[in-house]
Amino acid sequence: MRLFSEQNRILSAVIIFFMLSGTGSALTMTLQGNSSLDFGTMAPGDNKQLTTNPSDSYAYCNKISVVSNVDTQWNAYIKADSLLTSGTLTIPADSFQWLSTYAGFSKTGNWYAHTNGIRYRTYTGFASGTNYLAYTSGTSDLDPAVNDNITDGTEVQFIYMLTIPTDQTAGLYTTRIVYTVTQ
Amino acid sequence: MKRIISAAVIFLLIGGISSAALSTNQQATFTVSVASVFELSIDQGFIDFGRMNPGDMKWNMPPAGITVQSKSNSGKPWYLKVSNDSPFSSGSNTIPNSNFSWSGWTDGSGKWYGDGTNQVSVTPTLVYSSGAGEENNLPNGTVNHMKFKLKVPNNQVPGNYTTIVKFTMTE
Repeated sequence: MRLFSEQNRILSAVIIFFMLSGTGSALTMTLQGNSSLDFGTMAPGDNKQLTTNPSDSYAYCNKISVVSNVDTQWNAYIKADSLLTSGTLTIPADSFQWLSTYAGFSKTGNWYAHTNGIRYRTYTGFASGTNYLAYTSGTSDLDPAVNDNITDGTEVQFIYMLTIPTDQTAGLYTTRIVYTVTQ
Repeated sequence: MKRIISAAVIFLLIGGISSAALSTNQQATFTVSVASVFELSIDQGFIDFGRMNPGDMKWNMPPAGITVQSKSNSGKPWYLKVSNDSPFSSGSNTIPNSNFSWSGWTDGSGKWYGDGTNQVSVTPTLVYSSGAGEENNLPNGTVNHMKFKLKVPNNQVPGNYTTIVKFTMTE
């Protein structure tokens, strides 16, 4: 009798272990490059593009790297929490712009461009609080559906441009850009 | 046996709940320092009263006025002043500043301090103070126009007399 009850306890413990270690879907994103980006000092009327190398057409400013382990479409968004602000002063939405220059994915080792997933390939102004759909995963021209891209993930690259209005008041202006991935 | 069957049922229920929507985000801070602009410019730097006799007076000099342009994006009030380093001088001879006065008009929305009797002084004197909206008057700035009047004293010693008139913009 005693032996039978011990076996039961062992069997129950084994079953519980499997319940806790069961696998599910996972979606991760890292922001690569600077998380603190500075246009520096600009005079009224100045225009500047924020990229690692303005003369290199392949350069970018920063990028997100997204890894998904399930074959379910995911979307990447970008938004500005506010206009560039200094106290009560702001720089207009159309003055601060972004675009996505390149997106590519890899499952293990081989990288493929997926420009069809990019939604904004020309400069667009950051309307305050607007969540822009920057990239959509999924069917590629070159490869079957790559919603799941483990282990290497998908990169989406960004460049930013700022034009200071000719009548802008002097000051230090800041804003926060939020990158979101949903699945 | 019953205990084993119950544990297996619970496992399957938990395995079916794991398909909730996923979301994750990252943030970056962007900054820019918009430079300060505080500029003063004039369109001519030499005014010649020409030849004058003792007792002569010339006003409205120069005829079109000196254009004085003030630019600021500081967001603060600013002021335009005029002075000279010293009275008209020729060696040790001078024409007193009481014989040298300024006038003009403004294109701006602020306060013009000229009343037609303002003497030039070695102490900077208010010409104009910025008005509403002129704390940032970019890109075109605010324009004031200045003219000068000179009366040569009846007993003035002959000579070439010069003075340096200075315009000053301050906050």
